Amino acid sequence: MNWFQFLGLTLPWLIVLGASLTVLFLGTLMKRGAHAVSMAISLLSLVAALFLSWQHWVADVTVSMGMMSFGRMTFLGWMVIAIASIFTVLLSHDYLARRKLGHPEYYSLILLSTVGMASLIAGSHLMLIFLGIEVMSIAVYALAGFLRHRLSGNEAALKYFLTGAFASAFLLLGIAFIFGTTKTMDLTVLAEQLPTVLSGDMASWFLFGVAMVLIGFAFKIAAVPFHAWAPDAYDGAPTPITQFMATAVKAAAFFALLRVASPLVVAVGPGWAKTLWLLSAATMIIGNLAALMQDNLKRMLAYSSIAHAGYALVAFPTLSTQTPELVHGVIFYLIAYTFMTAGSFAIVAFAQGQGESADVSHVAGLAKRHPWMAASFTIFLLSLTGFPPTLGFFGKYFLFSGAIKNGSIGLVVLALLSSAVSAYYYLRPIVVMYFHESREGVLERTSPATSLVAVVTIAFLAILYFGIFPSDLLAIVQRSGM
Amino acid sequence: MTITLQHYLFLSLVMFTIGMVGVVVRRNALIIFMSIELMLNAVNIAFLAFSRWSGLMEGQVAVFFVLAVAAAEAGVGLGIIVALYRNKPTVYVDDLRLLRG
Amino acid sequence: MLNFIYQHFSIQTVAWLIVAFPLVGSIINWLIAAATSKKETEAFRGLTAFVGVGFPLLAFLAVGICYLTLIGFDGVDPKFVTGPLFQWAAGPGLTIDIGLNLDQLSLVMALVVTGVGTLIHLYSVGYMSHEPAYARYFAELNLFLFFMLILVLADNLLLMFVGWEGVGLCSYMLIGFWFEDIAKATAGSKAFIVNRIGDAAFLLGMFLIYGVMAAAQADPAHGYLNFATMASNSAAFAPVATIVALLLFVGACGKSAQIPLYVWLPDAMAGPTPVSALIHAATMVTAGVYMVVRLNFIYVLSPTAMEVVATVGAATAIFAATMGITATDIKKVLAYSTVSQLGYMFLACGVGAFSGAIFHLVTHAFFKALLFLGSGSVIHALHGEQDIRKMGGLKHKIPLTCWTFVIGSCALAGIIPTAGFFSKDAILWHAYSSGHIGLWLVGFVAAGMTAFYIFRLVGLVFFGQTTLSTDQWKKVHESPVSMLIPLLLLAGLSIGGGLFGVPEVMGGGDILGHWLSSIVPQVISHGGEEMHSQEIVLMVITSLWGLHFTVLGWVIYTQKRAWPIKMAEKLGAMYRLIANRYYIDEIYDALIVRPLVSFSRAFLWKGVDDVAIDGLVVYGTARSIGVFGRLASLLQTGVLQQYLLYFLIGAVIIVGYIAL
Repeated sequence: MNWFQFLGLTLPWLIVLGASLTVLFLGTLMKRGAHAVSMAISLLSLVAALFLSWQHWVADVTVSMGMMSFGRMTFLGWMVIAIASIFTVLLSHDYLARRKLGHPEYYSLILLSTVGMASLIAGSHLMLIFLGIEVMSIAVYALAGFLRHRLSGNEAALKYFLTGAFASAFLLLGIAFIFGTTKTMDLTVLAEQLPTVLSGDMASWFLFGVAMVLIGFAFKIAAVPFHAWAPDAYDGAPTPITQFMATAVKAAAFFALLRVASPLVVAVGPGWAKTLWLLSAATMIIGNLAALMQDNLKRMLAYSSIAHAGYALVAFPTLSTQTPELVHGVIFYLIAYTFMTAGSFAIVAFAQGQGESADVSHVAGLAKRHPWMAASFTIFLLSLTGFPPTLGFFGKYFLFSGAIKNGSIGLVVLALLSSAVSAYYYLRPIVVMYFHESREGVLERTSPATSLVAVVTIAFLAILYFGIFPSDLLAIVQRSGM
Repeated sequence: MTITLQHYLFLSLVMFTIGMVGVVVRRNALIIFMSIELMLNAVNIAFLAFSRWSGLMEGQVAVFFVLAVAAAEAGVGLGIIVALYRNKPTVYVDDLRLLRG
Repeated sequence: MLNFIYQHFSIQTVAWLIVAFPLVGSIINWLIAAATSKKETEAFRGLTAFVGVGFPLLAFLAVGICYLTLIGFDGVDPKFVTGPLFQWAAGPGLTIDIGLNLDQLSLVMALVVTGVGTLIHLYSVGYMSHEPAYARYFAELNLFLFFMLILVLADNLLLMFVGWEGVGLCSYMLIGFWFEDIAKATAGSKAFIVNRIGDAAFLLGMFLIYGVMAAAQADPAHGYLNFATMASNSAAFAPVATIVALLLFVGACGKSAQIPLYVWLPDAMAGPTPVSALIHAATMVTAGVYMVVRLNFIYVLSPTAMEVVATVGAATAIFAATMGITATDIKKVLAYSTVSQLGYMFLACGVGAFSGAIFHLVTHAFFKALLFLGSGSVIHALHGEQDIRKMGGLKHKIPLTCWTFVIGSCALAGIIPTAGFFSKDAILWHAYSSGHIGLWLVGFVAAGMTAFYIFRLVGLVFFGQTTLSTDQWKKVHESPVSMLIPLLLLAGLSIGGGLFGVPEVMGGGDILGHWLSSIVPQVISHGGEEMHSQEIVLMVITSLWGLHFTVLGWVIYTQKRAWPIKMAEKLGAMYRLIANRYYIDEIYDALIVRPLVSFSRAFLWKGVDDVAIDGLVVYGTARSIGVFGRLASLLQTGVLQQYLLYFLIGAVIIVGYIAL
């Protein structure tokens, strides 16, 4: 093993790890200005990680080392989580400053969590995947309860923590059984040994392990019926962290699930297809229906994010190593979803101002006071609904056309119908923004912080640019291989 | 009677199930958390048994990781419970119904 | 002039300019709207109007140039103008070009869209002159034109869908143009939601087409969804033609307001009247018809789908016509009339007369735009009054509006020799000659009703004694010139537009039919003397039938019936006869009209429309979605143990499926 090459490849996240520790120590040394400095360091390290990941992607290195395997897909995943974390850091500064909670450890936790995601995405060994998930999650448990003087924050953190730890136990049990039956935890070796294991007498224990691992992942991506923690945790957490959970955490979990699932699907056979079919259908139906009733924008977006995980799951029943178009469809969708969700949460963070949460009525009259914010939110919502020519439409288009090609017609019908239903709730904020008069004093005094405007602008431009030129993004995804 | 792998796995699954039931039926956050620890330790038994029977060290190393992770979880989890207790002196999870619907 | 253009631009560039002009106009007007949001100046209003009308006009000229090129004006053989601008998406089987397709069919549509569109923009200058958000209005209207041209000129289904959604969005913005009015905003969302139902079906049809083409290993040079690729591989659709065709037809029903998805169109009349004329009469609502004609090669593969299209079309035609008889809002009458006429177009598609459908689409665009603009002129003159029972005698005050409106009404009623006569006759004749006697009868009866309700409207609004108060009467004024010019031009087109499709039995050349012959199948052969005589007989019957109801509607509903009475007194000898005729009218009134009206009121309107369609389909959907939504959020009790229980249930299911 070439240690220099290994260091070079993991350099983006070593930088982030270093930044995380620096920020933490800084908190003990500096009394004033620590908030701005720690935010700047975090931002710089994440931008550096993004840049280096991009460099790796361009250099196109494919190599397996120890418990990690690197390839363009890994680097693409890294870029997605780096971008999502950059959005979170940008949103956080203003949010924490308004609440006088600008503690450096907050940024340190975000960076640590991101490092966990990076190893989760790169991991080709089940133990590393488990550790990645735990590093990612434990930091987020703490972040979810960061507004520790607020009961709703405590409640969100506790619910997330207890269900999360519960799910980890299942994941771990699955890993133990897969290890026991195949005598390896390395995914590449595992794929080679599958035929022998499945014909052996331990086959059903192996499948039991696969089921348990799937449960662990279903929890992380908030698939119904493992979703119930999500609306509550999203609602009570600080809005930038909600955005972090909805984009970075979910994207990382999906990347890892793709890597783990692709070799297993064929092995598991029809049971896999049936299970994933049910998961996907239940997730998009329950997510969309529950979102209909929400007045609270955060909860609405939480359910919407559940529904979108359901759409992404449409690809999984027929997934295999022979279906690159499905893998690409899911990843394209995740990228689209990351931009539009991050943008939407930025608007929510703006609309909520100092308040605990933002209701739909909070955006009333936004069109008159902040026309660009309203226009951006409209684009985000239309993209979430799947209107052309936005990025969200092409996400659905590539995903569903791939699924149709592989014969998942029933599931695509369900997806299209439930996304038609979703127009009801995505439409509401638009109507309220443009057609309702603002309540006195809600948006009057606030003007958006520069960092928040930056998030909105980047997301807005990305959605429109890649909506009009989707082939640019698709080319990146397709050239990332499997 | 010789003790086989199956016996250990049976023990592990029974412990796991006891922990699982404990998580679902108990209301006290601390006891729920202890039940989760029980589940993790059940998994450790499975790891060790598999490791012993296959002669691979990987499983034993995994146990150390699991212990470390469990400790980290305990640190964060107890912190969350303490923060909660300061705002509302209760450890019963069904008292927490602020977020719903 | 043309040579100059050819020297400096390729025809592809001109083609792209067609869609670029309205977009540029829209952007400029958005900027003006943003710049003047604080304070408005007169100069900017002038600029807005200039840009808002100028760019559609430029687009119209560009279409004209393309048209001249296509017919071989420059001495070169007729050719197709197509041009991919850039590759939208690439990849194995995913290739989609952003490309335009200027063939005979799309050019006809583009001429109508830009031509009628320009006139309506011009009309808006006067109509919206008191509107504060002037620039935003023109920006949205230009944007609509842009998306409509994308829809019409797209060379693949996906780009067409972009236009399809875009026009829906613009329509939605323009229906809710008067922000302050919440009811209008709600009407906007109703249109939006009903269209989403249709769109889901459209998308599904599109994905199925994609699947079929991928399975058929079609040559994907321009992507599977390219119309040309699809047409040359149309045999591959045979196994799934019915389901694909029906799914797309559901999409068309949403957009073109057919049963049962028509509910949004009458409500959409809440928008400004020029918007109703452009979007909800002449262009957007015909998109469904255009799509069916464009994809005729799929439809002809499935006789079942064709029957469904024809039946839904005929049912909509007659159902909406009865609704037109009972409506009292001038714009609602025209809205139902539009639904009914769209039904005719689908009837034509369903019986295989695709060129007939396009012919009627074109003439309908002329005369219905005229009628809507005329009604706008009336509303403008009456300062917002829309109830036809409160009008009357307006021909004295606004003669030009009146007589152009009468011309439009004649065209709608199908009076010889207006454009509407030829196009409606073509549809009915094709329905009859293709053996759909039942559907022909339905269309025939509906044609009578059409004549009846539109001349009822004319009678109530323009003739007889006024029911306006003296104060109101004094304030009535004729519209400004910018509103009258479009009326006159459209009146001319409503009379002369039929020349493009004069059938061969009348010595015409059926120019439009031949023009479209390379795109749509020619299913009707005009063979045999016997057929010719049948055609002429039917034509005579149809026109007499229409004329009869025209007179009937007019006479019964002219207020106070002053004219027939005076006539009777003057012509002493004729008194008995006229009295008799009057008597006949009363019988008609009692035996046919009244029962019909009360039937449609009680059953069709209250029963079918309000309860079944509006209640069940639209609100029923909304309500059941609400119930399910509430159920779904009831699951989220806030109690952690319950969440963990769901978790366990899921775990058991997963283990059960995978491990057992």
